Amino acid sequence: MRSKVKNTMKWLCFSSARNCTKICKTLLTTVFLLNTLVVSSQQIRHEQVALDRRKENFVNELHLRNHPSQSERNETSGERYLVDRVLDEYIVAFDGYYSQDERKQFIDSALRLINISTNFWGISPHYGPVKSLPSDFDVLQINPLLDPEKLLSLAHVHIKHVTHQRKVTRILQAASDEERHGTSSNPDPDPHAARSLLRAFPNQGQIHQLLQAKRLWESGYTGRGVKVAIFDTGLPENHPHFRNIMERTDWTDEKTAEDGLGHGTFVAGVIGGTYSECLGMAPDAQLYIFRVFTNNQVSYTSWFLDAFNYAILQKIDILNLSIGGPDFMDRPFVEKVWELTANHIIMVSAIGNDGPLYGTLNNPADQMDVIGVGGIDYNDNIARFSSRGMTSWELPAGYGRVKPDIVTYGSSVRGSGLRGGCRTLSGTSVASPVVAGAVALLLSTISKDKDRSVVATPASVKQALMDSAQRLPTANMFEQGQGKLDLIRAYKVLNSYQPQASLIPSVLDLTECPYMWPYCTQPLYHTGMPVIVNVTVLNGLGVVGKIKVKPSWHPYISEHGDMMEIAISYSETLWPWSGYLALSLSAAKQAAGWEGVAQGHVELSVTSSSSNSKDEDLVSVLKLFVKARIIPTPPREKRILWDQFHNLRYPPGYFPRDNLRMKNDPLDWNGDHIHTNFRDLYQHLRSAGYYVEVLGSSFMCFDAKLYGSLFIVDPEEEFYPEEIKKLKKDVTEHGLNLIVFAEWYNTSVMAGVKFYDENTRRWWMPETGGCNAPALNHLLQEFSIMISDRVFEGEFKMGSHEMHYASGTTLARFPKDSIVVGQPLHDQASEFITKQASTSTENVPILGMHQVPGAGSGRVVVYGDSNCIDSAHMTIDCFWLVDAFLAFVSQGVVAPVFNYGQMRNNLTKEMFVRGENIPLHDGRDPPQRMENNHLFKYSKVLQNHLGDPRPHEIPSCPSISWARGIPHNGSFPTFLWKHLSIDEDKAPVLINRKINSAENSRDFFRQPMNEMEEKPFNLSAFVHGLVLIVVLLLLYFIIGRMFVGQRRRFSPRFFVRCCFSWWKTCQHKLGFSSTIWSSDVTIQRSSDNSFNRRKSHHDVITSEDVTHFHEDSLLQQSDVQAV
Amino acid sequence: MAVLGSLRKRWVLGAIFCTSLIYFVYNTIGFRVLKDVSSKESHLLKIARSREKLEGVLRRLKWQPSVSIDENDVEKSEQFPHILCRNSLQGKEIIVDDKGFVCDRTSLKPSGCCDTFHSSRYVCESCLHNNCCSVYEHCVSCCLEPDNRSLLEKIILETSNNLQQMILSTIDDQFDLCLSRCRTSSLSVQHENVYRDPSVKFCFGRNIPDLKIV
Repeated sequence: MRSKVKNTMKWLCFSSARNCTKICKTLLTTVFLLNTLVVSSQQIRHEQVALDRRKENFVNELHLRNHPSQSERNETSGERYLVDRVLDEYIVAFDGYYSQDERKQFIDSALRLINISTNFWGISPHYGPVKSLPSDFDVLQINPLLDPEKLLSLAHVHIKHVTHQRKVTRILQAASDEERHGTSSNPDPDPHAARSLLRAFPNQGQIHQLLQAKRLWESGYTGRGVKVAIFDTGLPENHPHFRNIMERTDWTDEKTAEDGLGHGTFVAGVIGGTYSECLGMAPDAQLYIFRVFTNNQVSYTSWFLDAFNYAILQKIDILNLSIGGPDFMDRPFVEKVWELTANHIIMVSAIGNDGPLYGTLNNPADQMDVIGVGGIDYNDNIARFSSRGMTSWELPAGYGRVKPDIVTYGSSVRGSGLRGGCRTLSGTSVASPVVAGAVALLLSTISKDKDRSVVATPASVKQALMDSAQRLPTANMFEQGQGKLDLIRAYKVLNSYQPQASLIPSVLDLTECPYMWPYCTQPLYHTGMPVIVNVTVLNGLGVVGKIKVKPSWHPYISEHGDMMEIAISYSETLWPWSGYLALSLSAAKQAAGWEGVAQGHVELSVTSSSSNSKDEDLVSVLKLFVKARIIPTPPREKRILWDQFHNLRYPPGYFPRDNLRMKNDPLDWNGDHIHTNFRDLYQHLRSAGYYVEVLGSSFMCFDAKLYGSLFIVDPEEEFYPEEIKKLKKDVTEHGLNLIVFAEWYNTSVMAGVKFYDENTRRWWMPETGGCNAPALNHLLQEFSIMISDRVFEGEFKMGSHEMHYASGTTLARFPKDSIVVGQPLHDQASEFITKQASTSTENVPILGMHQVPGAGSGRVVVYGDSNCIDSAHMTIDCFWLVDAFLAFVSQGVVAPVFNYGQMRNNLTKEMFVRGENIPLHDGRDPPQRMENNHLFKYSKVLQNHLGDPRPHEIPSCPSISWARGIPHNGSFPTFLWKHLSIDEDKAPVLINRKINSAENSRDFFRQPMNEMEEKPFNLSAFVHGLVLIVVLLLLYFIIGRMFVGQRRRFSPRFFVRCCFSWWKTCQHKLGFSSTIWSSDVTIQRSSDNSFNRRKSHHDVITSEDVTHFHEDSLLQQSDVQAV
Repeated sequence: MAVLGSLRKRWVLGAIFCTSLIYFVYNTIGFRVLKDVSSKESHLLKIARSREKLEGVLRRLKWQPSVSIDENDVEKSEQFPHILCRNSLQGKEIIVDDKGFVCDRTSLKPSGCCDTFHSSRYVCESCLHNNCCSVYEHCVSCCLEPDNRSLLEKIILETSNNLQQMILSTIDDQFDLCLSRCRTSSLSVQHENVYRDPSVKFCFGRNIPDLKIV
């Protein structure tokens, strides 16, 4: 042993002398290699950025090729852009390619319609070789005196839309500021000379540029002194993009305030980032980071409650919540949000990423006192993911409020990355911080001599944003709210703001399409169910306001106001900062055969006790203009009544999905209203000429003689015995037709879809199946119809129509002399219970059409699945089937599709019977109510009772007391949808406070820094490196020792080669195992049955998406050039 | 050469080896052990410090004057009408000010104080024996009562939760303390989305609301 050591030493002794230089060389090489590895990885990143930039430049150069005078300048310039609206210029897009003369003709006739004579406008000609070719757009220049909003609503058959002319300028870094904003502040005498780009947007636009935040920054407003709380996934410590992190607190159970997902970092970056590649909106705002969302995307109401309390204690000004969920009945949470806004905290929240389906709004963004933000893309289209539709709080008796409140860019927005650098994200959780940042900027503009807490309240800020928003021409109010955020105008409004109340929507022009969808799609008529408009009252006078006197209705005599009847309900106390004003509109008796437009206004006054003077109350008088089209009452067979009353949904109860395959969306939460998830059906019925009305109360409350058919779709509610009796009478005596779309119901499957709810920490058992089959059978037994508790699924063809039956029921009993259609389908219930996929099919009856016997009695149609008319999880629609049903019930016409002769192949004799009574299926018992069921908790019909729950006493029908009209000699204002009475000219003019803004802004914002330079010298890494070298040395000697006496010489080269091959095998192993892990993770996620209801709203845009986006914009541009 | 020569020496090599070995051992195992020890110590230290911190909070806290209210006070407030009050801001109908007066919103003076003629002080009207109340403003007002000082002091000293301590450290007086304590919090809910007791949910004492089965 001793000799060995000696030998080693010996070897070392002479070899070191000889090899020392070699060793040093090797070591140096290793270190160098390591270094290059590190550096190269960073270089790759830099190169990626550079590549992206080059790509960007390339795209823009393409855009610019059309404008040789500009392109030269831009080639040498930096990478900045400025998007500005060109004043008094509009792009009119046509639906096809037309010659110059045709285009002019179209515009001429369209403008004539809105009474603009030819003297006030001109068309700028197309230049170059394209001028003689047909084109699909024109640039319209108008007299600056004209109302610009009027032009955006220009209507003509051939005009697709009208948008503002935009100018995109790439700015030289050294360019003076005046050059940047010159065109916007003083209109250029010849706008075309300065014109550089049209319709093109920087494909990776910085949000602050699009919103012109710089104009505020350069006036010295940067969000200084405004406390912004960010409730999200936390933020890394010492993130290089932020300089004003006041506090980072953790409210989760993970005991860290670090961000593991990057969501919180991104959101914070959009609000207050200072890195020049992705600047935030308010770089000097004080950021308070609240971590309330774990890396596993879990958050609890209780965490929020404590965190919100702390936010109140810290006297936060603005709170951004890019998180939301469907549970608007979470009382502790909802009430805490009220408490927050009542404590003068401005809440901004993301509306949700569940679009384009309607009825997908998220709480708390759907609250009246919160600013709910939706997303748009850079072309001003509502982003596909943005949640929309009315709020569903008010269903079934009422009608939802308008939400979102405002929209802004939420697609491919750049913000801070988790570890420095910038990244691109999409989602309403991106749009929300844009607004929060904008509000922070706005709050800092309020001059010191005004008390900020008086001028900038949650109500006044919301009012200012709403009032200044630009309405988008193509979206309706349930998609865009009041329109797109306009920061500069909001600044003007807020700085000239006088406390007052306002209304959302501020004008009820029910004839205006598409903005007033769905009101504009169906006129009023006598005997129709009243149309309800739920208006939100914002009260800028104080936290608490009162509507002391009942609002009054003033029909305009000259404008047929008396043809319309209005009933008004309202919140007597507006708290916090808001309340509702609901109008029920109906056509008066004298309008039964009348057609026309009726107008009038509703007047109300909001009173708040003043905080300054003791005796005088602050009063704000509001006028709400109402304009509606009235038509003669349509014939009975064209009228459809939609039963809303018997729909129950989440929240509060667990009502499971209608398609069992949709495991990631376990709840039925979209409201089941014709204007939410049945919107497509509504559109279809309307275009087919049917009039659809909604029944928000029990069956006792409609006159069956008025309606052709009653739709009962996917009912979860029980039926009152009185209702059942009345309906039978309606069908047999009054000829009412019944169209029922049932859903699956099976107690074993129901037990199978129970899950542990992470959010409420308890097991959730469904209260019904897809529908409440026992209750429905109770109703249908009067007609000897019964549905079974079997669940079937499959695809089939009916005539030429592809059909998808997604978790539906079958008919268990159907009366004589009727048509029953069967199809071969999979038994999904057994599949679901045994967890084994089966390929065998069974012919089961799924559709029945029955003529109720007796003269003058109606018809009943039952179909076992509602998924093909419900847009929520629709794969293939079956609106044709609805048409066929309606044809059958109204005229008795049986579509050839249902004809026995054609269906023969699919059916056995028993399945398709004319004149046979279908027996109870397989002798099975009819579906039973589940034991220990808690439906009574959520039901309007049942009440808890010892033994079985019993029905309540049937409620009396809502009696509508029509407001007595006070005739008025007025008329509807020509165009007026601004909320506030504010003289914007009084607003202080934005003055550039800094002499050399270009210099200042460079100083102000950190320049893109070399990330390597940014890192401080790391001692521990240095020590580790040293130790590594020593260990390597030792290894070298030890291994060298082992080679002593062997033939092969041990050389440093050989050693390095050994190390390298060893490293390679290691790497291989590591790589392999990591793929296994990742696949494990995916499996776990997909099988995870638990459901996170409060989500952070972001979609990650993959690089592929981004390239698509590039291509899109390229295409668009080439379109323009091609013509 | 002299350097190389010394490098050749056995003890030099031995020393290099030993130091690196020690460093290695320290880095892999020892560090953790030491860390554990230090974290235990720091935990004890933290407790001591938190106790200190809490006592600091107590020292800093301004309490309601313990003299019971009499006409003098009222007169005083009449004499100095310019005294400004903070109040609970949020209330729908009623407001409590930092002197413990509860009044209707309409009786609120421009100074932020309740009009003493139309209000009563230290109202415990809707509060139960467990110091839980059904009206937030009553809870705050009741909590402001000078008699509650010892209870509140005890509660402060008992706080062990870091977050709670942090929250306490930002509180300056009894009014802020009561505003904060009376708010519904993580202790007010069961199953996250339901109040433990929907009607009596604002508590300032040691107890949490009684559980009502839903």
